[in-house]
Amino acid sequence: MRHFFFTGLRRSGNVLVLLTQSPDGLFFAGPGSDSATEDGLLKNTYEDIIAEGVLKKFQLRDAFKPKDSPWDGGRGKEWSAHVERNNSPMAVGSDSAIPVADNQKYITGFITQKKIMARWRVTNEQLEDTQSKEGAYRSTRSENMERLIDDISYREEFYLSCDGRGVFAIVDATTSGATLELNSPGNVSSTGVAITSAFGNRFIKRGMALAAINPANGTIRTNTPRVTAVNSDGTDVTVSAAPSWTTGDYVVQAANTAVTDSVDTAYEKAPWGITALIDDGTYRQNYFGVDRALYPNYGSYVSANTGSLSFDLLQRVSDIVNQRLDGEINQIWSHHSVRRVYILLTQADRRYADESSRRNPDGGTAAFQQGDLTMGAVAYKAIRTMPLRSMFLVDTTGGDFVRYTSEKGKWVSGTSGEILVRDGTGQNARHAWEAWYYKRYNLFCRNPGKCARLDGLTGMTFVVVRGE
Amino acid sequence: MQFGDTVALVNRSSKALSAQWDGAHYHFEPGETPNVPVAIAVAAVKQNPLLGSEDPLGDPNIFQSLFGIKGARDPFGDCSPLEQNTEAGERIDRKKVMGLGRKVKAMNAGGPTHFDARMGTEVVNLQDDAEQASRS
Repeated sequence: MRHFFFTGLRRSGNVLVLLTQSPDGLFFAGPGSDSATEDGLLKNTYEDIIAEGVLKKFQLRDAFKPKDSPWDGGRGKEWSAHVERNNSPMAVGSDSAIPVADNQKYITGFITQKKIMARWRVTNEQLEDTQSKEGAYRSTRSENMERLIDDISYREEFYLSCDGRGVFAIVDATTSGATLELNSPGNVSSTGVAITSAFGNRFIKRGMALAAINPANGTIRTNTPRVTAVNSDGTDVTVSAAPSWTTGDYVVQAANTAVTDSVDTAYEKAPWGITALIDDGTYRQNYFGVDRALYPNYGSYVSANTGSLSFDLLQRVSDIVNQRLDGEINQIWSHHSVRRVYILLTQADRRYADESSRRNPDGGTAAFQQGDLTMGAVAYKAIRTMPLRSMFLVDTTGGDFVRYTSEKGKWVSGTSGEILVRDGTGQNARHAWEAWYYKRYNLFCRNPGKCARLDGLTGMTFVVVRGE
Repeated sequence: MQFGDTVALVNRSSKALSAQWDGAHYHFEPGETPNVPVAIAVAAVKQNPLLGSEDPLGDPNIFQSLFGIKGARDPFGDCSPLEQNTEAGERIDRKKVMGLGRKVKAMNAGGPTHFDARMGTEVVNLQDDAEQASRS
């Protein structure tokens, strides 16, 4: 035992310090071994999975279930439209003149293919260093090649909601410098809507190269800047340099920032989506060769500038498509914001629930579980990429939707069948690899006249006031 | 209608009006615009109804429009001045709706939000806006 004694004036703390000393004269380390004192001994362990933070549910693709039809190559798929009947039938008397002969009338149209491509580049080191479970959560090859297919589906959702022009938005008059103010997302007019509510940047992502197309002639404007920020006010994007485009120009995706020709943009390259198929000419006058202005039965019933939503209006639209071409609406599709208007319409009716429901009132609807609401047993689906302020009333059976597919989706292979090919040659050669993926198809609705669309819906909804 | 047929289209209101046809957006100042292709003129008429003028029980193609086409049959040949009915809120004439539907009240369910429009997966980056504001 160590002895100690006081010599002169000492502070009490010195005594306590001495009391914590070990018998052999060393200080105690503290509480002993724990995670703090022995942190250097510990290793990390790793989750087996990567938590998914990227959207993988594609609502419009899942709702839109066209019949698949093979593509036979050649110049394209010619289709025949029966545009008018034989108008000769007439009541006649005995030995009276009979009507002049008539015949069925047809015109032919033409369906072409549209292609979507995606691309991935990887260095050889990243490929090798992510091959083991010890080295990476997952191999970069598996991650990127699987997820790129999802990424194409994500972009397809946008294309499916639009008219095939691939227009992200329209250049707004308030554009200034590198701040590109936008309206009419997806080329769906936001006339009469304040730019703060138009959400012109809704389909644009940071990092994209953008181009502007002159809507009068389809030619590209100079400058294809990169998007540096998608601003949170919803109205604009910031681009890498002031583009000096013209008010009213179409804004589309460009392949890169050096593009100088519209052929290298997405303009008119996308599969025709819902606003082209269920349309009266607002988006596509020439419907695969048939002029909708001349043959309105190849157009859908479209109520423009509709205003408030009401049950009276919905019944009227259903009657119109049935009287025109025997259309029977069996799906209603809209954006979630329009569905909220619809939910409000049903509010008054839900008060008249049965007794058990009244005893256990349920404040929600099937929409709370993102299930389909119904309108006369017709399912109502909310779809995130649908045009704002619009509602589509679809006869999926009678409309006869078809997808002509020449390629459902595959990796572009090299001459030996390899998917990853060397990147660059000559001075541009790098020890890196590239993979390309593509799909090639187009969509068609044989009977668009059996469907209908409500445009220009407002947030006001007319709720029937019952006799109290 | 022949290829190249045009008409004189009249914006009957005192405000500029818009129409969309074959994907292109057109804007018409008040007054007459000559030489408008027929298809675009018809689209302008259809897309700019006088709210509250469509008979809910009648022909959906018969309504009053803020556009008139010179020389067209009524009702679309009427080019006299006309302003939008800001009280109606909908195309159909509510007074002509039968039954309980005539007795309705308007409720506001709001419009799409930025969250809705951007599909909810985007970070609201206020820094971007702040930087942009400082540059402008």
